[in-house]
Amino acid sequence: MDNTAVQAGHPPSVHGAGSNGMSPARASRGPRAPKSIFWQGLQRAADLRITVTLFALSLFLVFYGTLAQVDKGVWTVVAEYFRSPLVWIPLKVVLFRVWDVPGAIPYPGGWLLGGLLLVNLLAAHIVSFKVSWKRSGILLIHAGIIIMMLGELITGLFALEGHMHIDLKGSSNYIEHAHAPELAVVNTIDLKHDHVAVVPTARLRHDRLIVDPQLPFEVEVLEYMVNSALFTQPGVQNRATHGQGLRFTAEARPEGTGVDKEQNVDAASAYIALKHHGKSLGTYLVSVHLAQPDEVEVDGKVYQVSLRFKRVYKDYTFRLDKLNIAYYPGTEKPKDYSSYIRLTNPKENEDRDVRIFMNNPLSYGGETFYQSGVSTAGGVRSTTLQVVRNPGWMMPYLSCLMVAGGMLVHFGQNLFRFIERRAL
Amino acid sequence: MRRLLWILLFALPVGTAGCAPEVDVKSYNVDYPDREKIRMLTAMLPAGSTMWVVKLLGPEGAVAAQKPAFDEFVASMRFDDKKEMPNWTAPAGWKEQPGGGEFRVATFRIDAGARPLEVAVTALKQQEPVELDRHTILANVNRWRGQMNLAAIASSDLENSIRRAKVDGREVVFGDLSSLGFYRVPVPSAHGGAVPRKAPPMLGGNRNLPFTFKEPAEWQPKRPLPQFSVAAFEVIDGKRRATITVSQAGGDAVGNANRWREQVGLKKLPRAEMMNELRPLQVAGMDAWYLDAANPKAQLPNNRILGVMVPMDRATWFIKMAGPDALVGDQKLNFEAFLQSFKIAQE
Repeated sequence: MDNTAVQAGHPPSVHGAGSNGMSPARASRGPRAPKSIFWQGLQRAADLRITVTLFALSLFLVFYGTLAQVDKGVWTVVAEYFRSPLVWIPLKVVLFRVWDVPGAIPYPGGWLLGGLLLVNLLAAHIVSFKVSWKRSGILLIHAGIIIMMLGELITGLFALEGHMHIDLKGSSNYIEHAHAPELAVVNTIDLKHDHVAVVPTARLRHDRLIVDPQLPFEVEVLEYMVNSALFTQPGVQNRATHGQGLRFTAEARPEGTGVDKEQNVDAASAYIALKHHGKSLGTYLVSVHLAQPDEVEVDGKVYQVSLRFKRVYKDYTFRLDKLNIAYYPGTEKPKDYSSYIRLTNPKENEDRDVRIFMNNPLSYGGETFYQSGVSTAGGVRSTTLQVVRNPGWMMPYLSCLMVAGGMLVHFGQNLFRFIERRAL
Repeated sequence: MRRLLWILLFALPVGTAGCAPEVDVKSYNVDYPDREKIRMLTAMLPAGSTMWVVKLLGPEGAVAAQKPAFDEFVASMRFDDKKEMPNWTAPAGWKEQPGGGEFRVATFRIDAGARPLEVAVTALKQQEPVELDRHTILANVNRWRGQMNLAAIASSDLENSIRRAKVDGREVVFGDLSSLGFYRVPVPSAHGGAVPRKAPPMLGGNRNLPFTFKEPAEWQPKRPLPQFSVAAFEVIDGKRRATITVSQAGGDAVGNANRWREQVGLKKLPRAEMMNELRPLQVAGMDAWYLDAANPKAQLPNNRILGVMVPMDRATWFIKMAGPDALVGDQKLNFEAFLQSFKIAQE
């Protein structure tokens, strides 16, 4: 076994290396000049006990994150548990859902644990870094783990998955993200331009009052429903005083959970009260169920207010010129869905035809467009393209290769050493 | 190498600091180079059991130029109960073509350079005489507003959105909607009209039904489908016949329930009383309303209706059995089993 300070399974104290993670070789060099406080801090950060503790905490995080999906959607859990620095885990989940106890406890989230593990690993390498053939396997394994963690960071920060919906002869220059509704306030500047202000989901879910200079009014969130249904029920007290909420009432529905058979997209709704300089502009129902926005007038300007799936606008435009929909005779089984698209991108001086069809996606602008579905609802033919962008997609593959290679090298070296000893 | 590790060590906290969920209000401008003012003119004319709808959609300027011709065309329509089609006089420059759609009976093409316009004449046939009641007008106005990307209006705002007139002694309702949008030049089909439509305008095609269901074995599929239905069945017992339909439309529950009561010869009920008549139930996991309207004394072919309204997305689905009281009573258990078979369709 080599004498690295970062190898797992042997607490340093057992091997006499000290709790600071220094290798026995380094520790046996005798008296040395005192290190700076910073260096000492780094040595403490490299402590293997921290590694073990962080691993244990990570194991429980994964366990609780999995258990939480009984009540919450996959994407909600990913955001709250794994892509956050801190998570409040309900006591009900902590107690394995056996006792329904109210309250929650704070727990380090995935970003924090992953970040600390990475710091711990890097600190250990800085403190006891030594390139040698004997340690090459371990170095390769650790490099692979670092790449995997960075890959998740890049995926969490930059990966996007959405849809582009285009009616026949229509065009689209934005991608919708169904897991992140946003409150959009649109002001038509002129015939060809709109000014849009958007409030993200996180604010709608957690803030009671949203005041921002980019918004023409204050938004008081009376109720935000992660998932909802709209009704035209008689006899139900309607909370909205203006707009389409006069015709519909919204009722909260349980959020689609990670264990649902039908992984439907949650349809959010909210009751919001709008105010301008202390004067009420009315209470509105906004919902992703509603296709059209409501209009609100402030200081002579008309704003269109709606809750919609988050939009990311692009420099390019897709126009659907032709749509082929073919089924195998006598069945509902799709034979061919083909979208004939006119792609225009003035910035790149591009104007060309492309065809996207089943199992033949288009890669463009760092994104991949898959033929996802077609519709003839309402007599209008339309196509839906699934759009995926993940700049870190290669990193897990690279990481696995490196870890596998590192393990082969590391255990291969031990095996050969063992065989050599036996031969002697 | 060690320097690289140092860089990573310091870059990490900076990187993870930006990992918090998006919380800032953002604003930006969006360009719509192809956007323009568009306008839609509509007219609804009831005649017998058919609702005639005339519609013109196009760029604001081109439609404004055709408005006198549109009004003139509607005013020229003459109905004869003995004839299936009305007579009309096409204005100058309107080229008449076959309908080309399931409900479209005529299409007029108006040459306007590279961006021609189309006037569509649609006939929506019902089983009973049609009326221009508020429910029908509002449902259509809101459907057109949706096509123009305008928010739906409440019944109280309806009169401000329409113009009533008389044509051939019949009441006509005109609509005139304007908004910013994108005009798509109609594609002439092989029939000479617009792109053939597989489904009526207010309905989804069968392929896109949002749910699945299984009908009882003794029900037979009804063909052709009744107006507005996406699925229909019949149950026949000697001379007695009941029809089961699945359809989609707009409107509120009380209004629809009262329409069913009137169809079996019962009086409309005030909202509060109707609440006692409507029974809540679940269909495909969604809240729905169930009405059993029976009028055994009425000498009508259909004097009992079992009707269920399932609000879903932006419209309401109707599952309805209409027939003679005794037969509908016999089939009530089958009908309720049919309701239980509804499941949300999976992709």
